[in-house]
Amino acid sequence: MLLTIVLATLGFATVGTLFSAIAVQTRSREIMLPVLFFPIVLPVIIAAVEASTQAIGGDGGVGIGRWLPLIGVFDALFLVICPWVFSFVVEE
Amino acid sequence: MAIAEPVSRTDTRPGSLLTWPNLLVILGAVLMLVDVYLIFMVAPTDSVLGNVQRVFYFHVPMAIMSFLAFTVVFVAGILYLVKRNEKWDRLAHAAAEVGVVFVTLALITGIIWARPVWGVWWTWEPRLTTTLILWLIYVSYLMIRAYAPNRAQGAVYAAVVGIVGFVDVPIVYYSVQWWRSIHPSAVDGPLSEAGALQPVMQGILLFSFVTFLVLFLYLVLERMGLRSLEDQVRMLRFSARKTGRQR
Repeated sequence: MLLTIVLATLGFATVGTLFSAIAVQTRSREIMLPVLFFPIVLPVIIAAVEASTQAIGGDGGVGIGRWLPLIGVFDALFLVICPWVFSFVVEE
Repeated sequence: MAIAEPVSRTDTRPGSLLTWPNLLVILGAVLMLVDVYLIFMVAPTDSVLGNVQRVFYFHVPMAIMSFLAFTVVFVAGILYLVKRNEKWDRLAHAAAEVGVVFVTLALITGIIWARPVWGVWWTWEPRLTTTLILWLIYVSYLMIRAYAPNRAQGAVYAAVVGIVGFVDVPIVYYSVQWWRSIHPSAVDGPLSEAGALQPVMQGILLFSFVTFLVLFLYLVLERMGLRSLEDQVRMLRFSARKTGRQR
C-alpha cells in the first residue's frame, strides 16, 4: 500500500510537472492542463486504483503483484523522458 | 494595398504535373476504385456477420495507418527537438492531423460495425478504450499547437506531447488489458480469432492496406505542402506589416 502511494505519486508528479510547465504558458491554461494530462496519466490512475483496491480488500497481495510493476515501468520511462524534454520546454 | 517591397523568396516554380502528390493522388484514386470494387463485389459475404463485415476492410487499414502516423509524429518530434529543422515539424504536424482523421474514422467505422454485431454502439472494451485515449492524446496534441503563445513554442510543446504520448500508448494498452482481464468481459475483440479469415479476404485486406498507405502518403505530403505555403503567407504578411509600419 505504501509502495503504491509512493510510486503512483512519483509518476503523477513527474508527468504533472512537465505538463504544468507546458500548460502554464498556453492560452486558456485551465483547460489545457487536464486535456493534456489526463490521457497520459491514465495508466497510473488505473493501476493505483486497482492496487489499492487489492491492498484494502486483501486477497493476500496477489493482485498487487501485477499492478505495481506497471506503475514501476511507467515511472521508470517517464523519469527518463520527462527531464530530457523538460529542458526543451523551459528554454526560451 | 500592393506590397511595395518585392519579396525574393516567393516560390514560383512552373507547376510541373509530375510531382509526388500528383502521382500519388492518381495512383490512390485508381487503387481506391479497385479496392471498393473488390470489397463490395468480390469479397465473400461473411457467413455469420453478413454484409456489415465489409466495413472491416476500411476499419483495420485505417487503424493501422493511424498507428503509422503516430509513429511518424514520434520520430519527427524527436528529430525536431534535436535538429530544430522546420521540415521535421511540418512532417509531424501533417502526420498528426492525418492520423487523427484516420483514428476518428476507425472509431466511427468501428461503431457502425459494433451496433449490429454487439448490439451496442459502444462498450468499454480494452481496444476501444485505448483507441479513445489515443484519440484524446492526439487531439490535445493539435490543441497545444493552436493554443501555444507562438508557433515556435507550439512546435516544441507539440513535439513533447507527441513523444510522451507515443511512449504512453503501449502502457495504456497493457493497463487497460490487465484491468479487463481481472474483470473479464463478455465481448471479445473483433480480431480475437486469428486465422478465421479466408485467403480471398486476406488478399483484399492486404490490397486495402496498400490503398490506404498510398492515401496516407498523399495526404501527408499534401498537408506538408499546404503547411509550407501557410508559413510563406505568414512570413509575407509579417514583412508587409513591418514595411507598413516603417513608412
